[in-house]
Amino acid sequence: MLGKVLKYDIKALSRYLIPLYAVILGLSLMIRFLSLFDDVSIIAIVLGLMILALVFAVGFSFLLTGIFNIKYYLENLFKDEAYLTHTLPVKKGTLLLSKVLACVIIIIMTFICVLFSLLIAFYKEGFFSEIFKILGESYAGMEIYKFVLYMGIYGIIGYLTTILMVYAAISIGHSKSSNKIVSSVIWGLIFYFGIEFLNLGLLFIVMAAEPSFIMNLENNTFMMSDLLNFFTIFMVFIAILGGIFYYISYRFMNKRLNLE
Amino acid sequence: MLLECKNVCKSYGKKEVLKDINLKLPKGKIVGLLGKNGSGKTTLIKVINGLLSLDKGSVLVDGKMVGVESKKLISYLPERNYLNVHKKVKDIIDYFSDFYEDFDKDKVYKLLDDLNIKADDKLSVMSKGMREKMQLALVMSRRAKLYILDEPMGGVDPATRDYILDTILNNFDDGSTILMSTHLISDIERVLDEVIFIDDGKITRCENADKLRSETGKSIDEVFREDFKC
Repeated sequence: MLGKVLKYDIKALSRYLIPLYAVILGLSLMIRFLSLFDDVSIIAIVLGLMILALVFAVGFSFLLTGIFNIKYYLENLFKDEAYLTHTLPVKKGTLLLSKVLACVIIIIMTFICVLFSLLIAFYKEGFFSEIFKILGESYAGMEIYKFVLYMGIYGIIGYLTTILMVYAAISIGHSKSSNKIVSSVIWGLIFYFGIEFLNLGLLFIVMAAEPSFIMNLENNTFMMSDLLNFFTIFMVFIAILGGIFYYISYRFMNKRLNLE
Repeated sequence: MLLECKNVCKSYGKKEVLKDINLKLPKGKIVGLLGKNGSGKTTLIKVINGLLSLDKGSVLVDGKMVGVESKKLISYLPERNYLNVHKKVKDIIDYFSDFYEDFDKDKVYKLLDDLNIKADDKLSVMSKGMREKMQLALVMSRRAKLYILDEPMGGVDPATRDYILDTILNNFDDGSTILMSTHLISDIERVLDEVIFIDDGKITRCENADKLRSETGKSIDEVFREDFKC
């Protein structure tokens, strides 16, 4: 059943994402085309504006991807469409897992789209060899590609936890009899500030437990591996929070569903 | 028994909407769930479909608790439109076909053909009434054990009411039960085997329609008007 639910979730999300991808890729193609004539001053101005628009579109694409995902979660599981979704012979856990997997898939799709658009717009001969050269280099005792890979995973976990936090807030808010949206927003804020507070607490604990890290930073003698160890603690912590938010969303959807 | 509700209680905040509901529905009957606005009809239906969590009590559908297995047996028509209007008719049909093993694709295409709805039509260009008819066609194209129809004739003209009632009667599976909530008692009275009166979250009557008529010497519509007189 998971495959079927996921198929329809991705299809539904594509309705929002295809126009976004079309705008990003369209801008890239225009930039590539106009860059052939950038010696004409008016075209150079237009080109500059288009590059600016592409930077904005790329910058906002991950935010929009998250917003689309949350909008779909709300509509599919708590609005009119939910009368069909929740009467399908499918476990609540499957419905939720599918939404999370769909979120991961569309983040990757957006990432690929952004990468392609940047290549279309700015690719020059020798680009790849230059990139591979940089990625293969070492900095402070670690290859850069390892660091990039690590930060990518960290980014995805952080992004997913944020989405799951909103899922949990919506699930709790919509279990109430009235003011469902207001209640969701309040729970979202409680979770957000709760996470910030816990992050700060964890930072103090780490600093107290490992003061040499700060000293190394001040003396510029830190190693990348120290930095990664530092980030790993936060990554595990954020992943645990994500798991808690997943459980809250599941619990409220399974035991406290309230489609009044 | 096909459906059994035991001591079902449900509140919205402090307001008690269902008060200790006990109900048993046999197989192969057409049952009218009748009551005034706000009497608890829709809430009871939602509880049976697992759209609302229970405060107390239990619901069994063919001996199964509300969940994946019970949902395989129930074909539910809510009082609102639950179809994604951005989809095409054929996409919706594929969706139903993918999730419901008892869904009959040929039957739905035939029903939609009668309504002059084409597979490539988009729901966004259909009228509200047409979307409601399509929803009914989808629900009645399942070979379900229990059809639960919430106000299927609410807010429609008499000709459409006739179409809806005919569609229901001509397409439900033999041996299955229909639980139908409505205010329009006179329209459905002739087809009812059993009637349930619900008032202020309590079941006030649950009896055989013919027996009720012969005992009171009145139509169900008249009994309803008497029982629920303001």
